[in-house]
Order: sequence, then C-alpha cells, then structure tokens
Amino acid sequence: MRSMAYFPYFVAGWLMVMGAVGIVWSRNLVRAIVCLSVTQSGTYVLLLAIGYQRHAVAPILGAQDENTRPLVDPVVQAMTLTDIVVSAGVTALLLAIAVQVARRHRTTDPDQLSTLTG
Amino acid sequence: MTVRQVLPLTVAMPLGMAAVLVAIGHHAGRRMSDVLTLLAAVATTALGCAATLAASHQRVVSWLAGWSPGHDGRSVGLLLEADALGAGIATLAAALTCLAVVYGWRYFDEIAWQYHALLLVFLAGMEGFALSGDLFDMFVFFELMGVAGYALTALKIEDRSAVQGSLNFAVVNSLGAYFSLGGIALLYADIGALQLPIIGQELRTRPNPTSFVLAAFVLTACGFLVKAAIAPFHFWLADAHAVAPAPVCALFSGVMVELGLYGVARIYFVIFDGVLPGAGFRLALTVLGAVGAVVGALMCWQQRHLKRLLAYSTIAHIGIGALTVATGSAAAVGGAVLYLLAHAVVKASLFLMVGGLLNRYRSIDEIALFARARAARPLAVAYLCGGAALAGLPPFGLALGKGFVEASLDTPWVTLLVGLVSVVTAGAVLRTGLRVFLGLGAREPAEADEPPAKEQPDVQRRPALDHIGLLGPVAVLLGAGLLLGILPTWSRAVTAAGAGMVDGIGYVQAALGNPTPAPSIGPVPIWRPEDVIVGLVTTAAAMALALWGARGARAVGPRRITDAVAWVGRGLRAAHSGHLGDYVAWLLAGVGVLGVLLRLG
Repeated sequence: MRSMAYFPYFVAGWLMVMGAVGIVWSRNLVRAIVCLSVTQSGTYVLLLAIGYQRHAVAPILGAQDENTRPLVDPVVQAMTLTDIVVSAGVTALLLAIAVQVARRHRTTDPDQLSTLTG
Repeated sequence: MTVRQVLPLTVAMPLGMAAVLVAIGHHAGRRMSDVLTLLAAVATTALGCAATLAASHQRVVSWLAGWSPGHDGRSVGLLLEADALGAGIATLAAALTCLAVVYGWRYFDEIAWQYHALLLVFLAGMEGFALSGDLFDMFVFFELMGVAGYALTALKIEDRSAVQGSLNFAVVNSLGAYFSLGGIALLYADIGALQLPIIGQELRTRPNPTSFVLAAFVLTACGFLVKAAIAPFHFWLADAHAVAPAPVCALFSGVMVELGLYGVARIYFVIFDGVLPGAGFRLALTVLGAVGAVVGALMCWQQRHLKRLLAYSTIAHIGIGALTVATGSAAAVGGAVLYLLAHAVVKASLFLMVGGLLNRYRSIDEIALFARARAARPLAVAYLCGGAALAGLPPFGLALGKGFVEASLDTPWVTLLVGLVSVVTAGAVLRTGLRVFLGLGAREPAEADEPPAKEQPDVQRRPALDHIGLLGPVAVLLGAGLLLGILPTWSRAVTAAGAGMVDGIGYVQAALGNPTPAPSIGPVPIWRPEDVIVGLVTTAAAMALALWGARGARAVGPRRITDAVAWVGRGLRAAHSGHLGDYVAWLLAGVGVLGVLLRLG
C-alpha cells in the first residue's frame, strides 16, 4: 500500500507538465487558457496531498473538543483556497482578453496572430 | 506609530485607496481620481522612505498580529521583513508610481478610475512582494502584481497588438507563478513552514542537500526568473513592453523586472545559500545571465519599434545584473544594485520620452519618425543624455555601479561583456535619437522595406513635447540617475543596501528575534580614473556605432563574417516569434536547463 502514497504526487506532477505541454500544442487560445488551469489544478492536488494523513479528520475544532485524533493540515487547505481564488481571477481576465483577441484578429489560433514578431 | 507598523501600511495604503476608487470612481471625475491616486502613491513613498531609513540601521521585522515564533522556533504567523534593499525597492516602486501618475495627467485622454485602481493594486503587489518574508505571500503578491500588470498592458483593448502582448505576458507569467507555487509546496512538504527565515534555519541544520530541495529551488525560482526576464524566460517582456502605455512601461522596466531578480536573490541567499552547492547556482545564473545579455543586446540593435528596442535593452542589462548576483560577493551585488537602480531610472525616463513622441507624432517607428522631432530641443538633449547614460557616461550612476562591479569581480570576460552590452544597447538608443531628433543619416535606409511599427496613441490631440507634464518626470528621473553617480552618500547607501542582501543568516536571525546590524561592505564605490576612462571610451564607441547605424549600417569587414552575423540576427528574430506556445516551450526548456546547470556546478 505504501506505493499508493506516492500516487497523488504523480498525478500532481502529471497535471502540471501536461497542462504546460498542452499550451505549447494548443491551436486555440481558449484551449491554452484551460490548459493553464490544468497546470494550476496540479498545484491543488499537490498541496492537498501534502496535508493529507491517513485516518485524520477535517481540521474543524469545536469549543469543547478535546480531540486527540490527528487532523489533516489546515495550512495547505487555506493555501489551496487562496490558489483557487487567484486562479478564478486570472482565468477570467485571460478569457476576457481572449475574447478581445478574437474580435480584433478574427481568429483564436495562436499561429495566426502575427502582430508581435522579432 | 513604530516602524514595525509601517510595513503592513505600505501594502494597505495603495490597496485601500484602490478600493476607495472602485467604490466612488463612478462619481469622481478624472482629475479627482488622479489626485487621490497621487496622494496614495506619495503617502506610500513616504512610508517606504521611513522604512528604508530604519532598515538601513537594522532590519525591520513585523510578525503580523504578533504571531511571532515560540520556543520551538515555529510559527504559522505571516512575516513582513524589510532590509535596506527590500524597503528601498518598495520606495522606488512607490516613487515611480507617483511619476507615472503625474505623467499620465497629460498623457492619457480616455482613462477613468479603473486605470488608477489598477495602478494602485499593481503598486500594492510590488510593495508586498518586496517586503514579504513568507513564500506563499510572495506568490500571492506576485500574482496580484501580475494580474494588475496584465490588465494595464491590455489597457488599449481595441489595439490588435495590445491584446496579443497582454495575453502572452499573462500566460507565461502565470505559468511561471504556478511552477513557483509547486516549488513552495515542495518546501512546505519538507520543512512544514512557509516563512523564509524558518525554512532557511531548518535547512541549514540538515546534513546534505537532497535532489528534492534542488527541485524545490528550480521550481520556486522559475516564476521569479520569468518576472526577471532572464533568458530563456524573457520572451514575454518585449511583447508586453511594446504594447503597454508608456508610464506602465516605465514601471515594468523600472521596478517590476528588477523585483523578479530580487525575488531570486532573496530566496537563494536566505534559504538555499550554503544548502545547495554554491558552484551550481553561480554557473546557472552566470550562463543564463550572459546569454540574456547577449541576446538582449543583439535583439535591441535590430529593432525599429522604439519601445521594443528599449525593452530588449532592459533584458540585456538585467542579464548583467543576474550574472553579478550569481557571484554572491557582497561588494559585487552592492555594485549591481547601484547599476540596476541607475539603469531603472534612466530607462524609465526613456520610456516616458518615447511615449511623448508617440502622442505627438502618432508613431513609434524609428524610420517613420525620421527628423520629425527636430524642434523638440529639450527632449532631444534629455534623450541623448539617457542614451549616453546607458553607455556608461560619467558621472551617471550606471558607470559608477559598473566600475564597482568590475573592480570587485576582476574577471576580464565580465568587464568585456558589460562593455559590449553597454555599447550595443546604448548605440541602438543613440541611433534612434540621432535619427528622430537630429535627422542624421539616411532617410530611407535598407531596413525601410519592413512594415513600420504601429501603436495607437493615447490622446486625440497632439500634446507639445516641451510640456512640464512630460519634461518634469523625465528631468526628475535623469536627475536621480545623475545624483546616484555624484552624491557619495547616495551611492554608498545603495551599495550597502545591496551588499546586505547577501547576508542571509542575518535575515534569518533578525526574524527569529536576534537582530544583527547590517554588515559593513568594506570598500565603497568611488570614481577611479580607469572607470572614467572606460566610461568615456564606451560612450564614444556607442556614439560611433549609433552614427554608423544611422547611416544605414553598411557592412564592414570580411563577407563571411558579416553574413554569419546577419544570419544569427535573423535567427534570433525568428525565435522571438510572438507565439504563445513557443514561449511556453522555451520556459519548459529553461526549467530543464536550470536544473542541469545547478547539478553540474
């Protein structure tokens, strides 16, 4: 079972690399932006995997909880939430810019955008 | 109010005013927004000055809400820590924002509170990034600065190239930021802390560095290297600078790019110095910095789009900064900071001048602008002074910083490279100055068959080029560049601030409650006779190169060599394709190269 413990890290690395490779291969800007989100999803998985412990409970403590059971790490969960907020902002802005690119250039194919070369 | 409380305020002040502008922006007029933004920026500058003064004696440490580490040296608190360099960069960012607002008063027609709010959020991001002592906060402020920056780049949302440039900038920077976050997560997995000093303390007690720590450094540094535009992470920079409005470019080149290098140096010296093999870090940053310097200089010379030309010059100069930081020598880093600061103010002033040309003559193209600004005498003088300052004309601060770096490193190839980069980039700037302001050289040179560079101007009317709103900020910036070379107190303070950066252990100890005074740097920058001579020679060489370029750059020398040079130039231009996928591929390759170089060292 021990090898299973590495599985989430593998998934995280896979998502991050594949997202980046996806941007390289994208023929559509919206697809590239979604690939960027895939890369970021890799960071969520990574963060949550780091905080996970087997048989631990959610880090919610009541007033009279004398809980001796282990808790999963709340810090990485807070980081993941922040990360999601950042991602929502960035993705929204990127999609807005992509819409504007589509209007001005009449295409969303990065290969057809040619205003900035050299 | 103590200095400790000043640190959070430098972030809260611009952020708070941005919120106010968003709330009342619809009712406040344009001038009201200008005034409120200027007030916030001035207040932030004042706070930054106070923090810098205090931090130049002793590091200022602020554990927010008093969550300082307990007996076990652990804390979940957030840390802001200012050393002289961090606080100084925060002050520079605020001061440049003040000038950008003053300049924008006349520069823009149709902006409203959104622009002002974005500018303040951008400032808040830079302040937070410069002062944060917490890795995750650095990531958050990095993204805050990023998002505001992407939006500011795409300000001319109707412009075809503006949207494309902004998109390239946004995707490449965000991807870098996510890799950084991955690295930060790895460090947290290993150490269980996010604060730089606690991680640094813990890692130094470990016997041997693992590949895991190396991977964490590569990933974390990746995002900051993207921001610093170190080759091969630099491709977005020219696109973003080419399309962003001039005052935003001044902020980008003046402080944002430098912040990237600052981030790399900060995490290296506080966390990884003495943990990773130093030779690997030196090798990696030296190679990437040198490649960036050469590529930036060659690309700079080939541009006719004035802002793109200045952007490539920034890439070249930051490359020099990177290879100096790589040495880890306190004196050299101090010299590099003086050099980069003087470069920042001069480059910002050049961007503001080019913005003036764009608004007046509706063009950003060197050849289309030929001889058109002949009447603008004061601006011509300022532009040529700026170009000469880049070349290393004494007594500008650039030459002093450069001389100090060369004296403390004493490596001939660095001296040669710095000289070449200065001559080529300044030669390109001076060439455009000679053509545009003096009408020297050929009106229809060989490169005229390329399509001209285009950009929408930011105003309907055509503002004069001798207006105080343009000349004032330009004079302030060039004056600052000059004073950095002339006033020994200034150059000494800047060098000392830079040298303090190397003292990672001092940073760690200050945060854990054992403050140590900043170490003395030993030698201070002075004008040695040989620096003056070298400065005059490089300036003369840049001028000669500029004249040769303005006359049409007719090839001299054996055919085979000139053909090879032209071939390299064309290849480099083809590599800077403006294609998003290509840039991301280069970024991935860069991560690999960085890892290999760190291992090799």
